[in-house]
Amino acid sequence: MDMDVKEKIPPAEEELVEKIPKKRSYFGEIWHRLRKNPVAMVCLVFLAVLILAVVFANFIAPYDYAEADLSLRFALPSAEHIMGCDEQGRDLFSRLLYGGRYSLMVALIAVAIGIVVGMVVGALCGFFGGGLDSVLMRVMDVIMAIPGLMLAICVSVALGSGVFNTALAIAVGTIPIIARQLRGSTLLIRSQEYIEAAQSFGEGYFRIIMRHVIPNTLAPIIVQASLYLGGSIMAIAGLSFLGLGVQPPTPEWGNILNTGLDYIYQFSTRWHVIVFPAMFIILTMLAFNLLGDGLRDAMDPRMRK
Amino acid sequence: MFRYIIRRLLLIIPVLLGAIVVIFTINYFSTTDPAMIKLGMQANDPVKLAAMRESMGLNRPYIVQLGSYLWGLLHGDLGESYIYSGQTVASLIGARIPNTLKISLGAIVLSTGLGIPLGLAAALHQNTPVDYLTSIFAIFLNAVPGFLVGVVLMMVFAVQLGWFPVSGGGSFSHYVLPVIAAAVGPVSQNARMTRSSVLEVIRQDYVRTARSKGISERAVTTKHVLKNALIPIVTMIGNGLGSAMAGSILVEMIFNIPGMGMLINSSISSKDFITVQGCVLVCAVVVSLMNLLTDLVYAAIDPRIKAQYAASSKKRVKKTVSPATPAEV
Repeated sequence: MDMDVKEKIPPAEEELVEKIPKKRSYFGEIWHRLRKNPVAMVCLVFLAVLILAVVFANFIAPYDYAEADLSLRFALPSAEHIMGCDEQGRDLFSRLLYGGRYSLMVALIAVAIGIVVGMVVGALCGFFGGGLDSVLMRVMDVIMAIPGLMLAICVSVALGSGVFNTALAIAVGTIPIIARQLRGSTLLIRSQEYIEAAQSFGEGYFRIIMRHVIPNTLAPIIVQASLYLGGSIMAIAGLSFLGLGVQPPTPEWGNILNTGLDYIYQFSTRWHVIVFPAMFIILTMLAFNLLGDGLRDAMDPRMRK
Repeated sequence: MFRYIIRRLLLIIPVLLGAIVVIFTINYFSTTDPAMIKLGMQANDPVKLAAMRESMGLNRPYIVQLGSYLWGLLHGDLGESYIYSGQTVASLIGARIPNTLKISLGAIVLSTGLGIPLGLAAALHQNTPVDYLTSIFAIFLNAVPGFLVGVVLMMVFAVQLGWFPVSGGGSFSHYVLPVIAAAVGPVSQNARMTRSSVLEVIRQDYVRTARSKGISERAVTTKHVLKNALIPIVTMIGNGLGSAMAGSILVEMIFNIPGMGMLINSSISSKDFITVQGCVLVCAVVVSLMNLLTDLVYAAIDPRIKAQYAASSKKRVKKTVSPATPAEV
């Protein structure tokens, strides 16, 4: 019906020019579809604001994260301390902003390690096959056999606490999943004609993997990254709960929440030391998960024009 | 089918062995010295420390230590706790694993019983308020840490309302709240997975055929949609044991239930790392065995796998490695 009406009215020339669909790159196309998803856009904006806020925490935070004032122990939210104070009278909002630096940094490093190592292993296995493939993929099978949290506990205990060690502990479990996925995609790509063409030009293996294989497998990996970022935030909180991960007095969302949970029995007067850290963790998890879902929908080949 | 079972059983041995080696190796390169932990306050005395290292066999090469650990494992020996002198890790775990298994299995039952109907309802009423509400519920549950749900449940239903005991294990009512808390993540995963699996099946030609034959919608749903959609879901339920156990481990501490989680937590704080290693190892083995069982059930209910094996064993087709099977992509 709509089409009929449009056809009857001759469109102005400028309009006609706009009707010709703009040629977009693959990622331009994804971005175009993602922009139409209001939930994903809200999450993207939220995460952007959050990341800016924690990066520039030293300008935004009203107090220093370690500045304690014992007269303000468990002070409820007020105009001076918008989220109240914790058990040592430190401003909770400032601590959560600085804590976000550590939480997000650990999550980011964890996902980066998982993806980079996973991609390298997957691409090598898929591209070269043979003995290397069998050996590396069996190692991946073995790592996958150990439940994620257990592996994280094991690595965390062996390496000790700290930002990088915690990130590594969380990353190990994601490596095999990424590696398997990339191996599958690489196997598909390897048999394509443009790889043969590249080889006939004399391009080396490394160059082919970097220029042709990895860019073509990036889209699903980005979706995974978003989901893993959310998962890592949760894993860090879980490790903190078990007494691992980034240790106090370094502020980190997981350990701030964990400290707050010690006062659960005084919830009616000290609710803020639990509610606000939990809110930061839950909202960030939600945003990464929903953004990941949105990206997956946007990249779904069935939706491609 | 028999060949398939044998094949899967043989395949799990190297994987389990590998997992044990990985866990042992990670702990071997730990930054803390077991002898120092075992000696505690006396560790400042270098003579005693050296003697302890010698008696614990820590001066032996890596491969010998690994060998003796593996040899011990074959006899059900997971080593001796650094902290509880005289207690073996195996006995510590043995006393606590029933509680963890009760909570994990309860969480699996609950997440299956709740997640599958939710996902089914969402898929059958796609793009209606039912679907949206279920999706929001699932997404929200996926974003809330299970241990936080546990704390909230304990405060509301145990402390405030007094419906359930606050802590400890034993009777059925002790496990109600922990099971709910441990099921939070799996419920969400089951609901989402069921929804997408059912949506996939619902669009198949055979469902349209069933409808066109004029059979009732109920029969279409139960006999054609659910039966086919359940196949991938079975895998998911079995593989959910890992996350259910992880949930249990985090939840036990809240409700003060003497399970693996409490053991891991206390061992971490007392640096009794050989016990942590034992716990991780036992969990990995239990989860692997469960995955094996799931694969066998999967093969039993999916006629396609059975047919594949029947055909290949009769014709003796040499299995060729295809460039990429759909499952791998």
